[in-house]
Amino acid sequence: MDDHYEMIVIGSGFGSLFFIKQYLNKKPNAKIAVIEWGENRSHSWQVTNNKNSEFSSSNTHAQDSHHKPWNYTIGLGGGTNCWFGQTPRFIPADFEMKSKFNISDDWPFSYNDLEPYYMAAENIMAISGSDAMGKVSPRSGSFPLPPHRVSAIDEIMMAAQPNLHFPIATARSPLALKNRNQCCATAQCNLCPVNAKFTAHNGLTEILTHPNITYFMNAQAREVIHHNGTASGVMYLTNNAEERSIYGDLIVLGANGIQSPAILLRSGINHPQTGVGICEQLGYEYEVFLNGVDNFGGSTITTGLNYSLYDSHPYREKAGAALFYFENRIKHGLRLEEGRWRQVLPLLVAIEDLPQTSNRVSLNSQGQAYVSHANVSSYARAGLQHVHDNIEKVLAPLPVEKIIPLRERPTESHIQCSLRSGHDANKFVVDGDSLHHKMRNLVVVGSSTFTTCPPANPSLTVAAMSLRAADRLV
Amino acid sequence: MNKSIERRKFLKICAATSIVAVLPLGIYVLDNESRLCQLVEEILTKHLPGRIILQADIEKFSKDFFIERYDIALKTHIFSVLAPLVRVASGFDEDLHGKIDNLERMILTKFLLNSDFFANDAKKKTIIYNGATSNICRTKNPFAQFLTP
Repeated sequence: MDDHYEMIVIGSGFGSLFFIKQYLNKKPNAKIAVIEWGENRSHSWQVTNNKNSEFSSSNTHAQDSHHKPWNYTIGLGGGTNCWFGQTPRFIPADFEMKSKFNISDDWPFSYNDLEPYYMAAENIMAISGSDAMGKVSPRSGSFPLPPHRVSAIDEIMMAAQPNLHFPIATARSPLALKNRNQCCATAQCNLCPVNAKFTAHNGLTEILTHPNITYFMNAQAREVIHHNGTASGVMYLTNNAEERSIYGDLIVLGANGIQSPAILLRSGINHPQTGVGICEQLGYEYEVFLNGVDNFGGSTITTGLNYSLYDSHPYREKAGAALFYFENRIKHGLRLEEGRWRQVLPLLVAIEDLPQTSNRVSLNSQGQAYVSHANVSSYARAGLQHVHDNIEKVLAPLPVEKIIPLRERPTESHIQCSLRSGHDANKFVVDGDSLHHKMRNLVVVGSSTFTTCPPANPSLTVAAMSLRAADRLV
Repeated sequence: MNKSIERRKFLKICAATSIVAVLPLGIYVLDNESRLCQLVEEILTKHLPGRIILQADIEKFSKDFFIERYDIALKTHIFSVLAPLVRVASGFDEDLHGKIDNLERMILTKFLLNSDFFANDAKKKTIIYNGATSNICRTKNPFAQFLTP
């Protein structure tokens, strides 16, 4: 049968493509179908048209108008197109929130279980970073690329806090590579003008052009077809709203944290926790005026990461952990004083949130994904307060003139925890190997399966989890 | 009778409201470029004392800046028209991306980053405007130092 595949993959972002890559490593002759809602838009198309896709996030799901926005790309490569390329690993404690802090839940695997796959994902994406980062996220090997040049501010911080402040880990290349150019530090990373950051288009071309993979473009996956607890295919809509179906032995759901639960709900695969807990980090911006230290001399837009309120956070039982991003981009402008133009530090803080049952993805009357997210958790709010209370101590090594709290960011563009993973089949949607608890030939990939919501960026962890899931399945 | 008075009153209110609503736009259309350019010149002169910037460069920069930042052009224009007391009383200062400092920083930063100022180590007396950069590279960083292979 022409329309029968060994594996059907819904979506083509980090979760899907890294799963396919590892699957093909093990089974190079597998016949695979990918169902992608969007178009195949090249890097040059995206830069020329000043957007990643024709689809706007707000038109592809519904929500209360006064709730926070959610941001994602629908198109071949998914989030690999619009991401900024920040790739810190999680830290070991992130996977043991219940055991260590009596907060939320433990993940169904440990940092050590994931570490080899972190290494593999970093090598595939040619990640730049400093091995000193192993002090917070232990490493079995070196970063494939050297770290970016840091700013004078980072140098002071690294000297004073060698176990807590590090050059950024990033998929924005510090050097010209065969398939990518050197990062130009222009702060337009969602539409990288020089093609320096890893994307599916420049880093996974062998998957996008693989002869065994059929890509169904402009195909909106609507339902997973199933019978007696076994998934057997996917029903999708074409551009002309025609219903079509294809069939396969293994279904991999990797749409995104909003669309994946909506597909399961439309399919009638009704695990009670489907869509429950959607969240992302709480982002906050500061501006720090300095006395006598110039900023902006680094080689990429974010040059330093500070873990003072993350790894060594003594109050994580009560307040969300926070990760500080030391910005090398002229985000709020130069200073107005002659000769002190650059003595300013834009600072971004990402604070851990927790999945709450009140926040969820459901379906509206048209069967469209509907997101209810009234607010972040009190745990995240306590984390933000902890940051406000301690930021002076964190920045103590710097000649700080004043710290200006600016604003909460509307979104971090990270959609997580809407199909959480865990051992307990009643409490979690998928297990530790990314298999749906109620349908054992249905794999769910992507940040929707995160058990909790650590402060670090999710994409590298998504890639590592997909490599691990495929490795364990085949 | 009463009804017709009310109708007249209603029409007057509508007319007055329309004038109030349309007036700023009218002023903006008739007078925007010169007003905005004057404001830009005041800001650059204030923060770059003793530097020489050609009038043509200021005009060109002002035009480029408000084409890119069309979102704040009208607000900035109204800001430049209103007396300071009225601005504060109306809360307009707060609306304009926070405070006027921010507008000044925005304009000064954009001008300096798109000029030869930093290329000449900020020492040359005359500053030459290089023209608008592409939208994609609108926040270019002239201070970035890159790794060499």
